[in-house]
Amino acid sequence: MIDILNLTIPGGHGAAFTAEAGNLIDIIDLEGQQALDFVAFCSDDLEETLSCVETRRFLRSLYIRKDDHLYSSRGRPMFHIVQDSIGVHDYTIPACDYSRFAVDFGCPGHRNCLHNMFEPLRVHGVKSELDVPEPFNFFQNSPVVEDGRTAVVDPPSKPGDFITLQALVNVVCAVSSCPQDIIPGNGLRPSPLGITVRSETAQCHC
Amino acid sequence: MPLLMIEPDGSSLPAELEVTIDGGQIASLPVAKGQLLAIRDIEGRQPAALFSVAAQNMELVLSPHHTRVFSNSFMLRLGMRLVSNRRQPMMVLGVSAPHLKHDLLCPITEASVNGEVGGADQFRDKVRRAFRAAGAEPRKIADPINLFLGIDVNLDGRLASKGATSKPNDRVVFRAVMDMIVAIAAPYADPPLWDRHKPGPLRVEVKNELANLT
Repeated sequence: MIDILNLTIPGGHGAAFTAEAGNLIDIIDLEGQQALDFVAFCSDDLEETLSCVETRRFLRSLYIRKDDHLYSSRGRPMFHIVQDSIGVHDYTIPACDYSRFAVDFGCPGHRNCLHNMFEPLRVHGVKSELDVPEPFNFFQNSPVVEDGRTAVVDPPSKPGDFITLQALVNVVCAVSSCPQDIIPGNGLRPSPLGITVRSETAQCHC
Repeated sequence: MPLLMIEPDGSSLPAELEVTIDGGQIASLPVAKGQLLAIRDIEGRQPAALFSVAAQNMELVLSPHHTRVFSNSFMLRLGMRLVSNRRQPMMVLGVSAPHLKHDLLCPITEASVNGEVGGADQFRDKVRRAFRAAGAEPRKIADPINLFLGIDVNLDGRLASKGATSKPNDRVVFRAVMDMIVAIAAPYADPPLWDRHKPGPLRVEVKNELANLT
C-alpha cells in the first residue's frame, strides 16, 4: 500500500480530502479521548451523501463495528469498516454548530464541527452548511442508557486508536476534531487527529 | 386561543384547517404559533411522517437529530420539544397515549413500492413537491419524525422494530411555538421496519382550541 495523503489536523479544527474507490482511509486519535465528526459525499454527485438514517435502517443498530458497511442517502454501500481498534463510535448526535455554543452555552463564536467541515468542503463544491449531512462521530461515546435515553461521556480511546474505512465509491470527505471543551466529550481538551489515505495502485503524491 | 402572554399582542389565530390524507399521499399546510396540530390515524397501524419548515426562514427545518439530542432521548416522548436544525423549538408533543411510540432514528423509503435502494431520495422529492404546493421551498428536506412507529432501542444498541403502534383513531396533538409550514405523509410500508398491505389514511386538523378537535 502507498500513502497518498497524510494529514495532521490540529485539535478543534477540521479538514477535507478526497479518496477513490478502493482506497483505505485511516482515522487516528493521536492523543486519545478525542471524538471527531466525519461526513462524506459521492464525488460524482454531491447530492448523494453518507447517511446515518440509511445506515441505521440496514444495520438495525446504533453501534457500528468492523466489517459493517456504511450506506449512502440512496441506500448504496459507501464505506466498509475494515479495521477498528476500539469499537466505540456514535452516529446519532448532530454536529455541534454555532447555535450549540451560542444557545446552550452562551458562547457565540466558538469553533464548531459544522463550520470546521463546511469551510474546507467549499473548495470541493459544497455550497451551503445545509448541504453537510448528519455526521458519523468516530470515537464518540454515546451509550444507550435505560429506557431508550442517551448520554455523551468522554471517549475511552487511547493514543493511536484508529478506524480504517475502505471507500467503495469515489468520495469527498471532511472531518472535524470536535472543539467541545465545555462539557464531557473530549476530556475537556480538544486534541489532534491523523488522517492517512492509502492506495494499492496510486503513485505517491505526498 | 393565542398563547397566554403577559402582554397579549392583540392578534388572533388564523382560520382552522382540516384535511384527510389518503394512504400513500402527502399534504402540506400552515400552522401558526399557538395553534394545535392534531394527526389521527383513521384505520390504525399507519405511521405518519412529519416534516416542517419555519414560515419566516426556509433554512430552519424540523430535525429529528437535534430533537433527540435536545432531550437526550432516542424516541419522541410526551412533552418533548421538537426543534429545528438550529435548535429552536418549533412545537411540543402535548397529547399522546401511553401505548403510542414515535421514532426519531429511521428514514422513510417506501421500500415496498420503491425497492430496497434509493427510496429515501425519491420520498424526499415527494416531500419537496408537497411543500412547493403550499408555497414553501425549504433549503433542506430533513429526515422525518415517524409518528406512531415503534423502534425499540436496546441497551446493546440493537434496534427492534415494533411496527406501527397506533390503533384506529389514535391521535397525537402538538402545540406550535413557531409559525411554520408542515408536511405530513401517510407513506407506503418499509418491511421489515413496518409492513402494511396498503397505506391507510390520516386526518390532520389545525385548530385554535382543544375543544374544537374532533
